[in-house]
This record gives sequence, structure tokens and C-alpha cells, in this order.
Amino acid sequence: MLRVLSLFLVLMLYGASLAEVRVAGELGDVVLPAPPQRVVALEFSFVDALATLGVSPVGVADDGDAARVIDPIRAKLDEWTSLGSRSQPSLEVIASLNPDLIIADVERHAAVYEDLQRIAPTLILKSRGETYEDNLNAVMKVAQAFGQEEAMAERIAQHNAIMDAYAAQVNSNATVQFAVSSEKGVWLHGPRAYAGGVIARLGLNSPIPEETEQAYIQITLERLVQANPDYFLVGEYGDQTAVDTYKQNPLWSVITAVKNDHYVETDPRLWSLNRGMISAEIMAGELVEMLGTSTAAQ
Amino acid sequence: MTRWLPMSVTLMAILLVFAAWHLGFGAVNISPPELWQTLVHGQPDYEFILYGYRMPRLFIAALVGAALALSGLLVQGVVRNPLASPDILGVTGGASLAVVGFSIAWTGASVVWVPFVALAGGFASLGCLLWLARPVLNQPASLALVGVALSALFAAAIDFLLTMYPLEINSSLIWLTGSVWGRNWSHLPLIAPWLAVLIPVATFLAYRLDLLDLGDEAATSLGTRVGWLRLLALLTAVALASASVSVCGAISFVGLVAPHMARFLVGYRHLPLIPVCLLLGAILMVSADLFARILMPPIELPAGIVTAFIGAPYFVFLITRYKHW
Amino acid sequence: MTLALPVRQTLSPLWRIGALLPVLLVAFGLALTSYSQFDLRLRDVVTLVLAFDPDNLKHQVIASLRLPRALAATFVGAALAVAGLVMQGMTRNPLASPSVFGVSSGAALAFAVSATGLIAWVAALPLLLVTFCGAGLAGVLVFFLGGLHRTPIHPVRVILAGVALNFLFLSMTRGAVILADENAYGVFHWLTGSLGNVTFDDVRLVVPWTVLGLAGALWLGQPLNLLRLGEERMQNLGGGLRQVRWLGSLVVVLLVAAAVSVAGPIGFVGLMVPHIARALIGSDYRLLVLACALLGAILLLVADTLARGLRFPNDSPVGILTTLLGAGFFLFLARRKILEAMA
Repeated sequence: MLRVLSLFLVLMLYGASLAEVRVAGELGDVVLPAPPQRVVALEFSFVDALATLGVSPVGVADDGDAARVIDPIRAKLDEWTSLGSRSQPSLEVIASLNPDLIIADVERHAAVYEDLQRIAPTLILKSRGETYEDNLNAVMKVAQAFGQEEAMAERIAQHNAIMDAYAAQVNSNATVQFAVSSEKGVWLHGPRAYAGGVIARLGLNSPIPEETEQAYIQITLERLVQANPDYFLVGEYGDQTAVDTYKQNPLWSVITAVKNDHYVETDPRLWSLNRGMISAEIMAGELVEMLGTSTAAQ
Repeated sequence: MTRWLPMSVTLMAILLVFAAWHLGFGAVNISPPELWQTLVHGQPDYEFILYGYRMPRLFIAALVGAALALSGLLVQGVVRNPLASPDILGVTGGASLAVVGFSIAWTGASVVWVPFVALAGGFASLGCLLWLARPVLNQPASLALVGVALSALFAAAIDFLLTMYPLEINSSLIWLTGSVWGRNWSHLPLIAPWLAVLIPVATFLAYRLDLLDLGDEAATSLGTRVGWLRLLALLTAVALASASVSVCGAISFVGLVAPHMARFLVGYRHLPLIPVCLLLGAILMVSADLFARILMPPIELPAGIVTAFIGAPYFVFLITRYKHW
Repeated sequence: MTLALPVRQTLSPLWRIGALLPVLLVAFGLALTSYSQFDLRLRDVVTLVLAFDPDNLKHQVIASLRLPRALAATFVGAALAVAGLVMQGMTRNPLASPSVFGVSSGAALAFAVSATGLIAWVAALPLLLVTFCGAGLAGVLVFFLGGLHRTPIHPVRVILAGVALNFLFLSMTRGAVILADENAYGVFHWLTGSLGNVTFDDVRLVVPWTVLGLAGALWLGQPLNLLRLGEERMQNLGGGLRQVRWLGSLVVVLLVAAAVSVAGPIGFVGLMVPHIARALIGSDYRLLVLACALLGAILLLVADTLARGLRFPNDSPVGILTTLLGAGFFLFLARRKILEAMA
């Protein structure tokens, strides 16, 4: 009953003249007769976009752990149902939530695109391995689905202003590198990765500009010493990870970042999982702080 | 002979029980009355979960299991080797390797080609096996040994390719272990027509394979063209196995275990063995996919891992029981 | 002992073993210097040995990264090769080896269960103990299921049993990783052996146990020579068959556990090396142990160097190379074995 009422309200608000919304996804257009009310997100980057729009998703593929979404974003949203792992979300749970829009990742979920479309209109966008620019395009697409392009364009302009201000504050061409570390190894996020994009957005450089093929590069300490970043951020998954064994090595202190005490352990959820404008602004803030310039921009 | 009909009916009933279990349980549990409501009265609540998700998986698992089991039966009948099956002889491994190589070399290629690539890979690996093992074709254990070594080589090559050219994770899991995740109605045409054509072929071959059991000379004297029979049966078996691979990847041990269980139930004649074997293969695969889904929901295991849990110990048991070393 | 070989015959193979030492040295040198973005040269190794300069970056790279990696490759390679040799000697089966019999994957399963924390109390135990139990359990299973406890052993039976168990352990490891990691990408990193991140701690773990295992294998040399003549002949000559099998199994499990703890399941080194060694120096197990240790070290050093060059400057796990090479070798051996049986 409530759903019918809300649907009615929406129709009233937008008027009968409102044409259906058409959004171009990576694998095809999605047509929405009305702004969606029950949205599920199959990647964290879409949660960021939804939070920006003020829409709470009813379901998120959060790998079974809602805390994987960073607190500032979670604070803006209602609780959601977990859909299982991002690589193989449970289509049963998605269907049981009766969504009217599914936002999926073209890399992970292309194989089940048809099935998702059977459940609800599915907007399939770039997420895993996306660049900073890809993300802004994807965010705009998400806004289109809700008929809020103008609001989002405004928000993006605001985001650009914030990032410009940070960039002006940073005003440096130092090399900055982000990596995630797990028990099985260390992966650098290269210039193609989202974190690399945020670093470049602030006018900072990558120590491995030649890595344009893959977004995430598994490395050994030797490669890290060669890359020799001026600033090095690491997000650890677990208590004892591969980067801890690097620290025992005499070469660790040879790295410029370590020598100058510019090695920072940061939140891998923020830097690797939650790609989006909200995260990017927090990341930029952390970078500004790390690079020694005081107070964040508005 | 007389036992196959009641046995088939019993197995059909078991398959139906597993099918109902498969449809009713998972990350979302559907109670029997609700299941009934949805199936019979078309109630829309669980429409997608049943018709869009579990039912296609159920059918694909059942058909793939049946195809692998029949393939195993034919292979065992032809090479008269209880330790043979398309996966032990490297046929599924070869088909998988061909598809992995194909999808890495032509990233944008249409899935329409996959069954044919798998088929080519399956035939090529069968050719390799027969050529490498030509002196020992009549020695079951030795043939199995060459097959095992061949499949180890294919598995190593797949590992190598997947490390050097990472695919998207779901495809990788399919080629590493075999999986039914993300399979839907659109994959049904990749397997169903093969079964529709090849089951009659297998039925046609059944009586002749019985003659083959009497020995080549006896079969020849009864008017069987032994060489052609062997070739046709092997081609049928490889086609069935390759079709399965093109849908679910290299599912292991179903093709080995199902024919043995079938022989245990209804004896050694091929005609009654065929329906029993098809049903047993379907039951094995459906139950594997079921347990893969309900073990730790909503996280799923690939079904191929579960069939290995059932199949590998059984294979070891077969080896300890095998008397004709 | 009645079967001690005349000195004239042993001299030449000993010489050949000696000739392997410079080869090992070259392979070690290559592993220390090749495929580096630091443009390392053998010259740097020489100056390092003469006068280590802690401020020299090249010296540091060689001493703190390349040296533990090369040492680990040396000892892991030696351990796996000798484990394969002892297994082949005990079973008198040319196809026996830790990877074919599932001993390596048993250890890898134990390692994965421990490291992913799937079972909490297992994770609390020392790593080597856990892998030792895993390898031991796999060994016991293949021992009985393969029919090693009865004489005569059937060679093909034990291989097929081993292959099936190997497959079972691989599947269980994959399942454990998927369930525990909530990250299916993990399946790649757990089942291919790699030396990319080894440290001196790993070297300290692997060296003593490998040396102990090698000593055990050397002690087993003479009994294995007797066993080559057949179980009955051996017992007639006063050899303790049961004793040899127990000690041999212990040596194998120890060596495999140490190697897997450090580098993961690096496949097929134990299958290939004993055959190369036999072709080189004949069939005296006392000498074969030494030759296998050297050749195993050389093989893994070279393979690791090649793996590093595969996608230079990015690293690749050495396991994918040895497994590919070894599986081909397995096929070749299996075919030769059955052809011999035919003749």
C-alpha cells in the first residue's frame, strides 16, 4: 500500500507529462518509467554516487560486511540488506528485495546482465578498475536515472572546485603512490586506478607512469624501491601483511617516502573500495594533510 | 534387464526430490506451500528466483550431469576401461584449454563459437591421447595414466594462461573448477540439442557396445564393424563432454562415478544402463550445485569443487577395488 | 656392506657432481643479478663480497632481496628434489613425487586453512607444524589407498590414487579460500608457488629442516640401493624394509612441509630432477641424493629467474613455469614407463 502511495506521489510530483527516462549503460540503454525507489548497488562506487544523491539503497553487495562502506557515506544512508560478495552477488537475494533499479559493474557482472535485467531495469556502468574520469561519467549516469542531472552537474562543479582548491594548496609535483597489502602480496594502484586518478587530479605525479596497461600491479620490494615514491600510502587487509615483512628489510628505509617519514598507513576501504566523489574529497584531504599544507578547503 | 524400469522410476523420484530441494532452498528459502503457489498458480513473489534463477540452473546442472555421465559410459564401454572418463582421459581438460586460449586470443568473440572451440579442443586432446597411448589402448590402467598426465599438462597450461592474461573472475573460476553460477536459459541451447541428438545415437550404439564386451573377434563375427563402432562411440562421447565444458567448464569426476553406480544398480548391458546413467549424472550434478549454494549463503562455491569432494574419494575407492592390474 | 660399489666406478660420478657446483654458482649469480631495474651486474656481486657498502643501493638490493630469494630457491629446490628422489626410491616408481602423490597439495591445504584463519585453533599453531601435519596426512592417505603397504606395490595404482588425492586437496583448498577470503581472486595466489616475497626469516625456517632432511636422505642412500633390487632381496640381505619406509616417509614429509611453508606448492621439481640426476650419474642413491640437491637448486634458481623475466618488470610466480614444464615431463615419463612395461 505504501509503495502504491509513494508511486502515486512521485507521479503527482513529476506530472503525467514526464517522459520515461533513458540512460545509456555500458552494455545497452536502460529505460525507467519513473524515478526508482528501491535501488540495489552491486559495487561500492555506486553507493557513493547514491549517497551524493541522497538515495538509500535497499541492498548492497558489500562482501557480507556493511562496514566495508566508509562511515561518512554510511552515515548518510539507511541500513541495507547484504547481497553477498561483489564478484558473485546472490541474485536470489536481489530478486527478493523487489528492486526497481539495479546498478551493476560492467567488469564483474556482465555475465549476469541478462539475469539482472529480468529482475529489474539494470544500469551497468564501469566500476572495478575504473579511472577517476570514468567514475565522474558513471556518477552522472546514475543521476540521470533519477532525473537529477542538473543537481549532479552542480555537485560535480562543486567537487571540481574543492579538488582545484586542494590542488592549489598542494602545489607540488612530488610522486605519490598508493598500495594495498594483503597476506599474499602488495599491489600498487597505478595511474589507471582510481586512487592514481585522484593523485593526478591534485597535480601530483605517479612514480610508475609507464604502467598504463593494468590498474593494479602486484610487486616485490625490489620494484617498490625502484619506483621510489616520495609519498607512500598503504591500505592493509589484515594485521600481518606482506608490507610488514618489507619493513624488516634494510632497503625499506632507502625509499624516499620512508626516509622522510612520508609513509602513511591508511584505510583501504577509503582508498581502494569506495571509489566516488565523497571518497575522493576525503582522500584529497588526507593527501593535503600528508603533504604538509594545513587546513582543508571548503 | 527387468530391474531398469523400477530403478529408473526410483532415480527419477530422487532427482525430483533434489530438484524440489534445489528450487526451494538457497540464500532465500521458499516454503513448500509458497513454492506450490508460485509454480502452479503463478504467484509473482518468487517468480524470478524460481523461473529466472534456480530453474535454469537446475536444468543446466541436470543436463550437464547427464551428458557427462553418458559420455563416461560410452568411453568406458569403448576402451573397456573402468578407470576411464572424459575428465580422466584429458578430454574435458583439452576442451577447457581450447576455450581459455580462444577467449584470451579473441576477447570480443561471440559465445556462439564456444561450443565449437570446445569440441575442437576435445577432439584434439582425444587425438593426442590415442596417439600417445597407441601401444597400450587395451591396458586400462596404463591408458588412464597417460590420460591423467595429459590432463595435468592441460591444467598446467590453463593455470599459466590465467596467470599471464587474467580473465574476469567468474570466467576464471569456471575454467579452473567448473561452475554453474551465472548460467541462465540462454545457455540451455548450448547443451540441450547435443543431448537430443546424441542420446538416440548412444541408444543406437548400445546393443553393439554389448557385443564389443564379448571381445573384438566375437563382435566382428556377429557382423559388427568394430573400428567404426569405436570411432562413432568415442566421437559421441567427446561431443557430449565438450558440450558440457562449453556451458559449465571442466566439471570433474561425474563422468567417472555415474557409470559405475549405474552398473552397480542395473548390471552391464548398455541399453538399460543409458537411462539410469543419465539420471544418476543429473542427480550428482544437481545435488552438487545445491550444496554449493546452501553451504554458506549468500556466498557460493563453484559446483566443480563439490563434485570433486564426492568423486575423488570414489575414484580412490575404485582403484583399491580394481583387480586387473 | 655387500653392495658398496668399487672405487673406480664411483669416482667418475663424484666428479660429475663436483662439476655441478660451478653450474650452481652461475645459476646463483644469475638469480642474484638478472632481470632487475637496477641494472645489477655480476661485478656488483663481486664488489659486494669483497667490501659490502651499506650505502650502495645495488649492494643492498642484492644482499637483502636477491640473496634471501636465491637462498630460498636453492634450499626449496633441493628439498623438493630430494623428497622426490626418496619417494621414487621407496616406491620404486619413477613417477613418484610430492606433487603427483598429493603430498605438496596436502601441505598447501593445511597452509591455506591456517593462513586464512578458517579454523581458529589451527591458525594458532606454528606454521611448519601445520604444513607438516597436512603433508603427513596426505602421505598416509596415499600410502594406504595407493597400496604401498603391501608388496609388491603396483606402480600405476599408487599414481592414480595420488592424482585423485591431489585433485581433492586442490579442490578443498580452493573451497577454503573462497569461503574464508570472501574474495574469489584469492584462488590464484594460494595454489601457485612463488618466491616473490621471501625474507631471511623464511630462509631461516627452510634451511635447518632441509639440511636435516638431506642428512636423513643420505643415511637412507644405502638401504635405498638395496631396495632397488626388490623388497624380498632387501629383506634377505638384512635390510629393514619397515624401518626404511618409516624414516623415508618422515624425511619426505619434513622436506615437503618446509618447502611449502616458504614458497607454496611449487609443482613437479621433485618429479623431474631425480630423472635428470640418474641420467647424469647412474643409480647409486648415496650419490643421487647429492646430485638431486644440487640439480634441484639449479632448476629452481633458473626457473625463478625466468619467471621474473616473463612479465618484466612485474614478477610472475615461479610455480606456473615449473608446473608447465613438469607436467610435460610427467606425460613423457608416463608414456616411457608404459612402453618399457610393454617391452
